Amino acid sequence: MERTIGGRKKLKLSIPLIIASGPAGFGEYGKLEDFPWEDVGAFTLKTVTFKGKEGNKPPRMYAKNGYIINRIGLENPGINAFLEALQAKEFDWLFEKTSVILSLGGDSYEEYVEISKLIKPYANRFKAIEYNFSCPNVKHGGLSIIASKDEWVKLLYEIRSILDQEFLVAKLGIEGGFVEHQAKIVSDAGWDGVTVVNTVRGLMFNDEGEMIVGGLSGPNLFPITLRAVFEVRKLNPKLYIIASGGIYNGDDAIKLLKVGADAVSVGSLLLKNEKVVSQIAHHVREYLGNSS
Amino acid sequence: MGNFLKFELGKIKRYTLSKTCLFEINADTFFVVFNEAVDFEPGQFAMVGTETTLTRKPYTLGLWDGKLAISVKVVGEGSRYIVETGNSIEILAPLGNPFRPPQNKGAVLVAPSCIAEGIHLAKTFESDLYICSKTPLKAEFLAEIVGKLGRTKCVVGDEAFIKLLDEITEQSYSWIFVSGSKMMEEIAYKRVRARSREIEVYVSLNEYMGCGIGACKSCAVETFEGIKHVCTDGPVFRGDEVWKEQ
Repeated sequence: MERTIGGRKKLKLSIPLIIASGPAGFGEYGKLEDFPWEDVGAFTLKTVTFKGKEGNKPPRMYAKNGYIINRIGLENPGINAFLEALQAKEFDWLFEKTSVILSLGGDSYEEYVEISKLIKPYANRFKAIEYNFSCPNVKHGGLSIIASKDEWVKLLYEIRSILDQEFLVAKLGIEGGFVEHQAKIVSDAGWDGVTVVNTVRGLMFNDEGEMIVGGLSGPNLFPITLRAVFEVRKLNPKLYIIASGGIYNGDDAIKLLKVGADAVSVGSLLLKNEKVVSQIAHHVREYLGNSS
Repeated sequence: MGNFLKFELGKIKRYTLSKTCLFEINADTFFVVFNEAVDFEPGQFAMVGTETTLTRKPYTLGLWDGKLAISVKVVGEGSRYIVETGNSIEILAPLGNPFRPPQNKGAVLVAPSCIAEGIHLAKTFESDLYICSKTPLKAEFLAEIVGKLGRTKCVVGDEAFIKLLDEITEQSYSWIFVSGSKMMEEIAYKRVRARSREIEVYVSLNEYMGCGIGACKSCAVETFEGIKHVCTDGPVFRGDEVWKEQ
């Protein structure tokens, strides 16, 4: 599943270009006649939580001035329904298209542990398992799980012991302390990688004057992502870094690879035009071809 | 939330469209006709891409002389781009569920921003068309619609709209379809339902839409059966799914 380069375990992907968890759902882009699967190294499913979530009340999204704000609230059917679908082969078409990364979450320490135990028999189907420690749009779990540092550290070790063979990735935000220090904690717990960053907490008013308290994405996030990856890499030479946040073109992707990302990940870009994935892939292939 | 992964692969097409003509409906709303034909059924919509916005914009679909048409109210950067650009426009279509009304006679009530859809529905289901506008329509455009469809009436202003709703309940309609602002749709449902329990009221809902294909879960609406999504469960809902009677 992975190879080791310079002490760092790396995901073996056809191209280090990943679809991020969230906007792409559970693969609904497969409804399109021409989604560019050939340019996708891995597809990260929408976060599955221990219990199903109906998500937040509307309005849930708004975009203006280079920002998208969302407060979806991790709407998902829960791990049991997910596993039923997995066993019913409802994801088989996606596994045929590309590598799949599973994103997991929970509302408490116990739920993160339980969901890890439940997924273990199926874990080898996934290229990696990403844990969402950074969703700003749920009251429990997500970003709030790292508020108690001691508990979070204990949780990281416990998950590592349950999923001892899997490629484990922690998705981090920038609001639980310096992200490079959080990444160090992840690395010290024996995890393989981090995804930086998740959406950043924000607040916008939509055209109807309704207040949306949610997470910001969009191209304006890009310098934040760039700095986060830069700092995480300096402190964590052995971590596999998936850069996420504000990537809208090939130039963005190359800059992230230059400051230390192992892979780049796009999410909100799909809402503008999923075909841009192919343009980014072209630039990434060209860059990697020239730099190898 | 059952069957959340069961969907048909590869059914949504990407079309690159070029405008053939643009009618002014009123001061801020335009009727855009494209050179191309697109497969869709009444009530369905498309996500329309722009170069100026971070998300595509949803528009319900209609036909004009066999060519694809949408109505666009200029409310921001995206809608302005769609109206003003001379470049080709890329859309994803068809999206959402087709509207299938009861068999008996119905009425279609639309705001100027939904006229394209309204004309198509009225023609397909041999219904009466009521255009409900806050400001007068351009006479030439209204004459074009009447010439093509007949059975079209335009009411202007809030009072005229309320009066129309009252009149509708006294006619022999078994259903009405309303497409416009959320407020317009809610008023229509509650006013009609307060006077008649015989008429089924359908509304084409609006919520901010990210993907239009069921992936991002942004276009949630609260219904009496829980959260639903405009793009995959709608866009057309029965009024009683969404609002209580007054």
